Amino acid sequence: MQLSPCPSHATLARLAARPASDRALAAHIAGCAACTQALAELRVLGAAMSRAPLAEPQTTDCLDEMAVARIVDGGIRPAEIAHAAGCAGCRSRIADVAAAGSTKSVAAEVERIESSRPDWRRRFLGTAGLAAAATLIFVFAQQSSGDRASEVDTYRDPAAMAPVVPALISPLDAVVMRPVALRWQSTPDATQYHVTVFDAEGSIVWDSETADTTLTIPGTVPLVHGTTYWWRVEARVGFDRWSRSDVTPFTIGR
Amino acid sequence: MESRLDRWLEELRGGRTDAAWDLFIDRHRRLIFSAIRHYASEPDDVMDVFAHVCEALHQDDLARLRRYTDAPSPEARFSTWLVAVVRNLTVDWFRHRDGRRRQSVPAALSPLQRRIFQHVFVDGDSHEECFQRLRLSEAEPISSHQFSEALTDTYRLVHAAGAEAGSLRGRAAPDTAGPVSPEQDSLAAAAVEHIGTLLAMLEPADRLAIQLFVVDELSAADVARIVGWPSAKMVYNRVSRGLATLRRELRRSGIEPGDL
Repeated sequence: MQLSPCPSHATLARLAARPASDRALAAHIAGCAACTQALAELRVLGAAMSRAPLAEPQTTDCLDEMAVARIVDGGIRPAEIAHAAGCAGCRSRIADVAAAGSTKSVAAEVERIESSRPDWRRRFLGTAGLAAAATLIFVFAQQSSGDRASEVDTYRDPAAMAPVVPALISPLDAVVMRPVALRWQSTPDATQYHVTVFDAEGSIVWDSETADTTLTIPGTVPLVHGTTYWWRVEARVGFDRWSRSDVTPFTIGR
Repeated sequence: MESRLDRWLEELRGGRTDAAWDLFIDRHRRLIFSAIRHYASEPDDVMDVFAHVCEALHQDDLARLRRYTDAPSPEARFSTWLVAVVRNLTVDWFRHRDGRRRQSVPAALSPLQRRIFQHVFVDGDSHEECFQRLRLSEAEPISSHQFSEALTDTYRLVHAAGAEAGSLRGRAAPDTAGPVSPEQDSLAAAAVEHIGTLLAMLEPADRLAIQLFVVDELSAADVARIVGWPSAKMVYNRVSRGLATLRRELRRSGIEPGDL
């Protein structure tokens, strides 16, 4: 007998990779033969995929540390997607660095370091660098015009070449009471904002889109007292182009 | 407030390497330790790896750090780049340590098993990386079934011989489901080979997302950021559709989950 409606296939795909922390969901799966079988099939398929032969690695295109870091930061290039999909070594390096960066301690240190350098891009670019950046933005624009207009081709601006990033206003590393109102400055040329709230493990707790510069996290979102969450804003600044703020923490007050 | 990161850069560019190093390590020590602890759990190992990382970063007038600082327009955050560097240095440290500790290759290993031992236990390759390297290097093509069997036997013989099996991420030995019939072996091998073919037919972004999410077990948020998709929801949907495609195509080929 089913305790609740069956989860979506997307939810089962997520559960195939990691156990359910939701007790109600776990109870449903334990009591639903269809979901149990579907989940078991997905897990078997996932395990078989780890043994499946992939395309031969293109060793001359393997990624160096800067490229791996750029990809982890969200700046993958179209050609690198195909390489990473076929090269177990490069994918392993990307996954390792991403997983390390998602741990609470590393994420906290990264935020501490990066938050004290709001203008690191300008410091590094300098006058000559801005001209180089403008050239590269032109090159990317030329490349984008020839790409298929599809979800797959939505890629992030490399961090160093990003246009103005959304500036977060509040909450900034503060203790706040519910309901939590998120505010940020408007970004030039932005037509839409996508807001994401993460927990300490990097899982998305809530996300939403707005054309405004403020959003309030609904009361139905389970935010735990005394727990720190992270949030960021992505501004849509062009066709398939987004500019992303850094993630900033806030803690739910008791 | 002046950034302490810029102060170490200013010292470095002013040729004051010692002062730059002191400021750099003061600022980034905790990040380095945190990154190392993601890979090493033993306190002694953590300290030894930290010493190795510091030595490598300090070498040749902070040459490794200059790779980032001297780049005309760095494409990644410094802290992310530093985590990537620490990851590689930690991997190197484990590989050297396990190479030194290895007593000798267990005598009972076949030539193929010896190569697997070198890749997995000494070089620290994942099973998948090892399989790819063997496929490229072996004169005779090796099937995934042959590899799985040889890998399982290698683990068994290594542990029986009591040899040190350093593992960077504590990879478990492959599942040993017990004896199966030759027909089942053949079916499983064919099925896994077919999965590889089907994966190659997916869009590269979908294939990468599925591998990162299912095989590497990254969070959907991380996968979205890496692949360049706007949200985790897209990861769930694309991975779900991709897996559904794989399942459908496998069934169309007469391969059931039990055959895997």
